[in-house]
Amino acid sequence: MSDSTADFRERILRRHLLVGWWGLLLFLSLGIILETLHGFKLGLYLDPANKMRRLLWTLSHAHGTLLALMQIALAVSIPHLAKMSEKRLKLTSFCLIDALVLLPLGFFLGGINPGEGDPGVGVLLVPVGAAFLLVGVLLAAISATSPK
Amino acid sequence: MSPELWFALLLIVPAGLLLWQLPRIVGKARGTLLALTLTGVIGGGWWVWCRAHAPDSGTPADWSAVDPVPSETCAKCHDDHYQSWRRTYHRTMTRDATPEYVKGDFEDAKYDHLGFRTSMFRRDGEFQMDTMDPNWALMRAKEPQRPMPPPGVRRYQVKRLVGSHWMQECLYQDGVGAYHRLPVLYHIAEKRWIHNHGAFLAPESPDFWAKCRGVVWNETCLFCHNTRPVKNPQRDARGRTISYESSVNELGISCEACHGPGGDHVRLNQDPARRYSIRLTERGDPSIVHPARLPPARRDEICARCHGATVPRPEAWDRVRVNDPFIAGQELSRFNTLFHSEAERDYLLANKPEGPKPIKPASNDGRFWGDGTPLTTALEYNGMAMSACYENGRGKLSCLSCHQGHPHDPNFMLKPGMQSNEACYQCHQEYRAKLTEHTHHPADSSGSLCYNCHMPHQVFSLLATHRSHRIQRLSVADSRGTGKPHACNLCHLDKSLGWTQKELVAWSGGRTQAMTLTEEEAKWSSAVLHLMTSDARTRAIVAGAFAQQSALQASGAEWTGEFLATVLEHERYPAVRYLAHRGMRAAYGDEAVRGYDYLAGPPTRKQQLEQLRRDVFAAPIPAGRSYPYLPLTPQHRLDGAVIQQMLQKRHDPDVTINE
Repeated sequence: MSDSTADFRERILRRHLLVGWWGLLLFLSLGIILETLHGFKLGLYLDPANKMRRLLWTLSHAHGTLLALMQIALAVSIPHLAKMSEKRLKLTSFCLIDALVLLPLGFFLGGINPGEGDPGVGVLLVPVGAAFLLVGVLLAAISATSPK
Repeated sequence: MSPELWFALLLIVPAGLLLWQLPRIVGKARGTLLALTLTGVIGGGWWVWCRAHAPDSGTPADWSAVDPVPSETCAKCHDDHYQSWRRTYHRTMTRDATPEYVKGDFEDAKYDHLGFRTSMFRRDGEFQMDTMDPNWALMRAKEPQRPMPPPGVRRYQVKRLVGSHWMQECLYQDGVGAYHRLPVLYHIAEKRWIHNHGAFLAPESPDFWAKCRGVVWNETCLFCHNTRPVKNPQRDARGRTISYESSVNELGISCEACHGPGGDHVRLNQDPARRYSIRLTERGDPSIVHPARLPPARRDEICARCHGATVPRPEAWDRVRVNDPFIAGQELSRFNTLFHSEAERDYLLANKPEGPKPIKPASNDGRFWGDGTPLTTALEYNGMAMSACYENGRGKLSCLSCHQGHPHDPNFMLKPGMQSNEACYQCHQEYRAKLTEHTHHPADSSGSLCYNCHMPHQVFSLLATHRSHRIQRLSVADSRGTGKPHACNLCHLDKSLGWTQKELVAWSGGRTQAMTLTEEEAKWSSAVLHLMTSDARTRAIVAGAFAQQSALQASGAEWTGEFLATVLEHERYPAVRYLAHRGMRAAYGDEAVRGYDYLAGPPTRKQQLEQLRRDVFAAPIPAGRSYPYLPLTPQHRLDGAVIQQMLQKRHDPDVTINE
């Protein structure tokens, strides 16, 4: 492995550790905020009429946390994915970071102004994020399958 | 916000991410191009997806052909509305007799009425009632002098229930699919079983089953107490009904009663694109009826179907299946005709009516006062439509001005705040600043609540009085010769109609002309005069006023006991006795006057009244307060001679209010 490739892989690894841990901090903080809304029994979150918002914000918190962990998982996996080309690694990294942004944001925005039985329009970001996640995970899975 | 703006704002997020990252992967030029292409694909995809179904599409060409859906289906998307509807008494208007819905005591309960015992009990999970054999009851009623064997007892399985708020009627099913009322029902408000002679305003009958005979659920209750009813009578060769195969989409009043059939709405909205498309354009979904989006007249006709006095238009109904063709949102008059008196109803129902249509209610009309104001419930639309405020459905007033179909509180289904003057301030904002100037009562008194004067309790049903929905100005003329007690005198029970007229003329600054009243109207308390001389409809309303705390405060409670005891002594209608006794309870407390049963036999009631007179009403009326319009002796006792004179003038035709 050339030095430039090693540097590149190190840069991606560090990026995902950075994004993963900060993402974890962000989405765990969101979890604490949601617990606080519970604690103070705030109607905007707990009223039966706001059931959809509660669900979507919980999903935002859960997806954000899991996807942040996934960034760390990718960072940890990079040394073991030696066969993964630079381009593929870039693309995987790009897809997973986008998924981390789009999925929780889509759920969160969808919960701001939900309708009766449907999330708000912000939820349209979710399928886009899901597509990025699917591609990112697929690329990582293919690379993990390739023989060393 | 417009849909386009929504999309543009949302698109910024993926566009930003793509433009940031793709040039780093595939080079600046190619990356930017790819990012823009992908952004276009995402944005275009959203746009096409949401435009795939124009929200204007989906209005059924023929609503009657749309499949119905059960209300549980609506809960999938409209859970909050479903839950608020579940709390209403609309839903439980008709139910099958299951433990969840039975209100009455069936734990081997006994109810004795005029020497006959009815038993309510459960056997093998069924609710059963042992009561008097209807044939025995009929024979006894026809020939009371004839020697009879002991009363026959017949066992009935309670299959269906009607009502869940004030009273609950028990129905049994016969062998030909008809449901019939049983003579003993549960009075929920009092938590007791009562004989149905005491549940409606009607004279007592010697026939134990009198109020059940001829009352077939499939013929009457079916149409207003259920959703999309079909009577479906089976007829013999001569056209006589021999059995029923009645059906409903749902027992009780469910979603589709107000929103129309939902089959298309459910099917079309399986598609999320359509839902978002409708949401973004905020135009509403044409595949379902939304009452709030209808013009007021159409909206109110949804309520009027059951809360208005209507008869079917024979040409518009299927005469074989007899199904109600009206669907929410349609013009009610296409299918039903509104009537304004029982005589007019009979005229409309007659096959070949003769002579001019009688609009004016007779003096014993069981639905309307002499001036056409409804006197019982289920006619609220008629009352509202008569109001100047309604402007014939072209103004702002509608049922939904004060009520809502999905209320927080199922009692009266009022919108929040509508039990205050805020209801009227919605249109009459100017009175907020000059309330006392208008009402001539202190701002915090019940006399300053708009609806106490303009929508007084002039309606009887379910052993209670209710607000009239005819919003009316105060006028003495409306209460003369119509049977309808004057609003002022339903609070000022100790004052005469003459006093009321004097006050109203003074308030108007002379703009109102005084009418010539009879000597008695000017001299005696209007409540006393009505309870002694008027028919049972008026007596019921006035007796009910004695239970209103605001009336007792305005009129003093100290004289009401002895007076109401006199009312009870001479009252032949059990419902009026119940209301008069309620008045006693309001003034003296439940415990003090507990020893009176309005449904007991005459000798027992006489004893009970004597006891009350001895124990509770023995003291004369205290001299502190002046009652110039009450017939009192110098000893501050009720003047029996005046009362007797009034009683001799009583106009007391048989009247029946079947609500």
